[in-house]
Amino acid sequence: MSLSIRHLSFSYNKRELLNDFSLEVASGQTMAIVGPSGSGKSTLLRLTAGLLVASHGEILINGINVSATPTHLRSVGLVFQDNQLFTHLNVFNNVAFGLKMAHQSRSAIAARCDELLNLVGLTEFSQQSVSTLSGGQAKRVALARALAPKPQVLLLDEPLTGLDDELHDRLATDLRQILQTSKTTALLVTHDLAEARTIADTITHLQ
Amino acid sequence: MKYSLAHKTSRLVIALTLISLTACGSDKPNTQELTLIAYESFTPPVGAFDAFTAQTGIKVTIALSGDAGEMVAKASLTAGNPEGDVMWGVDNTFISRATDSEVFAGEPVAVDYGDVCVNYDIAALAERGIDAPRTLDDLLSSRYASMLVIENAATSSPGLAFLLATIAAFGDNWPNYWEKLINNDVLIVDTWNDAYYTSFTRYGGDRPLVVSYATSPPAEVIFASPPMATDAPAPTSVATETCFRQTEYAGILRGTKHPAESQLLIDYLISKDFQTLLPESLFVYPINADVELPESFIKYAPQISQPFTLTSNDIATHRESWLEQWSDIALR
Amino acid sequence: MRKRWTRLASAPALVVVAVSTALPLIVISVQEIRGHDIFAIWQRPGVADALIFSLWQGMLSTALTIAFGLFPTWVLARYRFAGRSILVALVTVPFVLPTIAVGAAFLAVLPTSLHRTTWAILLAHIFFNISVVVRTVGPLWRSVDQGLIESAQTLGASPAQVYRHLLLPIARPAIISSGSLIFVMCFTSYGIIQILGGPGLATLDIEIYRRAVQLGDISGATVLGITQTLCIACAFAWWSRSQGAQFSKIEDRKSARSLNRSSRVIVFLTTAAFTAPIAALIFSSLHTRDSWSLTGWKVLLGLQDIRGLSIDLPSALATSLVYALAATAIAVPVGMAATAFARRHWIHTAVVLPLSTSPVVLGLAILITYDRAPFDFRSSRLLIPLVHAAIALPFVMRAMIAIANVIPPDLGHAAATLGASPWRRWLNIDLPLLRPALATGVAFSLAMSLGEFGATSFLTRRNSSTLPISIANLFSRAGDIPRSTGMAAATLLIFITGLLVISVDRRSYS
Repeated sequence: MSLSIRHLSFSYNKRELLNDFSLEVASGQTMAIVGPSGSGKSTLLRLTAGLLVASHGEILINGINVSATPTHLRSVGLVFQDNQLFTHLNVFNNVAFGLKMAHQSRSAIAARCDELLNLVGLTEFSQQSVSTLSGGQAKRVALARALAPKPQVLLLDEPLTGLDDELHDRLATDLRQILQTSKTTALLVTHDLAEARTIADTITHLQ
Repeated sequence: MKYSLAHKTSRLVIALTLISLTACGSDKPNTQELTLIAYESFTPPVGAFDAFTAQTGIKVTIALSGDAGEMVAKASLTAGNPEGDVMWGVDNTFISRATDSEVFAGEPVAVDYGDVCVNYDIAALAERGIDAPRTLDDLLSSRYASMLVIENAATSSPGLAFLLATIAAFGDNWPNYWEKLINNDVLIVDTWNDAYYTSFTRYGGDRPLVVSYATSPPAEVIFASPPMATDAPAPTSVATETCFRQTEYAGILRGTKHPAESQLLIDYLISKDFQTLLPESLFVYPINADVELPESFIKYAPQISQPFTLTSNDIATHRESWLEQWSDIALR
Repeated sequence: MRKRWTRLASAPALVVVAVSTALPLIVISVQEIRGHDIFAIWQRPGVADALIFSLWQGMLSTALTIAFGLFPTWVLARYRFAGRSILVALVTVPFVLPTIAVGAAFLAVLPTSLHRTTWAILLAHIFFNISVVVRTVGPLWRSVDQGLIESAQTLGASPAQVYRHLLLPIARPAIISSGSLIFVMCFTSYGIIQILGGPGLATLDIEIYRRAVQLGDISGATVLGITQTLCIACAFAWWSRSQGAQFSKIEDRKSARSLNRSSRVIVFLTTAAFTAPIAALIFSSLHTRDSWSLTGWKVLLGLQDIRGLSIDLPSALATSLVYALAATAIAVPVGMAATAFARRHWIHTAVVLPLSTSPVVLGLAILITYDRAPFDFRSSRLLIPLVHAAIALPFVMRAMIAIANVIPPDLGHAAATLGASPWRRWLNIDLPLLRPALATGVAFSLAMSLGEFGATSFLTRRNSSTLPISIANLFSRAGDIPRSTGMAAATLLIFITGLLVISVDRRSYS
């Protein structure tokens, strides 16, 4: 489950946000991209997820070129900076969303959701409305939701920004552990070098 | 749980579509069926055409086509390629427009008539201690100041009929009459419904005189609630020398695929069988002299011996200029 | 890859507009307009006045309706109280009733000094159209986070400032969108002007009827009809341009607060204003000649036979309901597809064409366009639901766009990364979030079809009378019984419409 990004370029409104950018993430590894805001980190994630289309270059997942594959067929998970939980669904159904899209059986969905809610420590919140969750709980739901369909690559966009120090540190450790346990190939963007060191196996700097 | 709601919604949409599709199956005309086009308030009793179907084996479908004016406007535009086979109810204020646009195959025939007259509320006049008006000139008297409500001649059929009555009565001098009438504080409203049910004293208004039909008094009796005593007189009556006669015509529409059957239907429309039904369903007089009038008409509807009339050609030629002149006097 | 798909989604809406309105208007213009009439018609007495009157009373009515409408809108969106859904239904009902019924009732409760004045028209327009504000702006305000208001308060904003600087800007797109629809309704107002304004005041729509029907001047009427349509289309295009998409966090909060004093006053006034005319209507159906009587209801329900008064209620009711369901089944999916995928402004201008066209001109135009086999649809049963759907379409779309604009695009992106195809994203994300707007769309199109009395009374109908047409027929007869039966029929129409609206609201808000 490796991720390769080769010679990727992207400009928006005639401003060049990425220029001939390349990276490799080995299977099961977590790479952090660190850079100041405006350096094109989020753009890189959106390109990888297929939410934006690059002007040059290609993206390979497991050696297969997915540059032209629509987002929903790419098998990438994305944890948004502001979570983007579905407010009309409860915690369970948020986590189950991707599994339902994959037409999994009811029992398989229930089992997988239980497993993930257990992993992020939210088992008893399963039937709650997501608008009643705290910041840390919401982040865990977003993470569980992204992991549930077992994406080939997990993308994390400033996942711990805006949380208080104690919660931030605890979640960073948890995240590291969850990623290791689930053997997920992950790409993390952050502006916080310490956070990157805690979570990631390798670190790349972006100017 | 929320998913099932989304699914329910989509199922509802699908169900609605199916309902609409089944409801909209096309109906193919067959030779044993005729379409009779009529104005919206054409409401003969249920089963009025059963006798015709029994005699000829032809079914009659009634197609309602807006008010009388709309019906003629539509018929004129589709002359030669009509929406039906026979048309009922073009009155003499519109008939020459229809014949000029060659709506009909052959001459249309008269099927019924009625009069538009000033009606008065007997009790309200008695309360005011005033005699009932009889003529158009009476309406100019200061006794009737602020008492009459009429309809807009430019938008309402009885309103136009009343204007035509004054034109027939006074000739070129009619604008003079109207200036005096307006000075006598006559109220003009847009529709008959508004005049009769809002401004007329019988329904809570403050005007004891209203332009309506000569058959309104029998309707007041037949439709009285609570019912009136058997020998009681009608609560309203008619100023008999203020009337304009409206005659309604029916004709075979040019372009029909069933001219012979259509002629049978026309014959039926003027037959005694059908004409007998007219007085108490459409509140008009039958054109067929063999028909005996119902008791309610004999007892409560005044016979108008000398109504005002104008030729339909005259009406067609001058309609626009008369209405513009009238609007200048009455509305502006 | 996605672009072609989104263009396709607005195609059904454009087909409905093209078939029901645009094509017929082109045909009638080409066939019927005589060249010199294009300018000469404006010289005829009353014609230019009608255009000017339509314009200024339309603008004034719109401004007043919004100004007055925002009060009940706020209370209905943010407070929880017993009878809330009934009140929502109550304010929706006048919008859809035949004016002949409610106009008379309205006149009955209006002080005599206001009869046949411009004031009466303005008041009636507010009364009739307020539900457009309640139902378009309401869902947006409903979704405003209470925390947002509280944070403004902590920053020192007074209630008036919260309103001016927070709530009003948030509601701006919805206000503009409801305002543009109200303008169309008031500009083309017909029955209200006739009943409440009297013959001295005529809108362009009335002048068109007069020319086409009374004078047989189809050419002149068509020129005026096209002018009216163009006027409204221009106003609409201009409005749409000034309407920017706004994104804020959408949270379907249940209105948790209970009434305080000022909101209680608003609830009371709204209830009183909307109950009085309906109460007057019910009263007239039960009261004739100083005594109570059930005759009107008995005749209506077929329990009592009156010679010469044939009313086939079951068939009229069934016809009305089938038309309403069919029109809704067309308008809602078509409108939803167009809003969800194509947020181009010109589509919103295009869908308002049917509503802004004079019923007389539209009826005549359809008549001469579809008059040859195999396109002889003139008296096809599909035609009326299609026209109803076309008229309801802008309401469906306006209700949806207000909500669709505040759904953050990243929500759809999140679903995409979880494997949801565009169709599933729409089904599982947009559709549930659009549910309140969907309910509004369903309610509006059912109700508009049930009460519609313009274009379709002009189209020829075989063997089928609708409820509004039966009511009009009853009111065209002299006598106590036809009148009380007509009042009973109008009351029945109110209750059917009210129940439909309540049941739709229940589904969406509970």
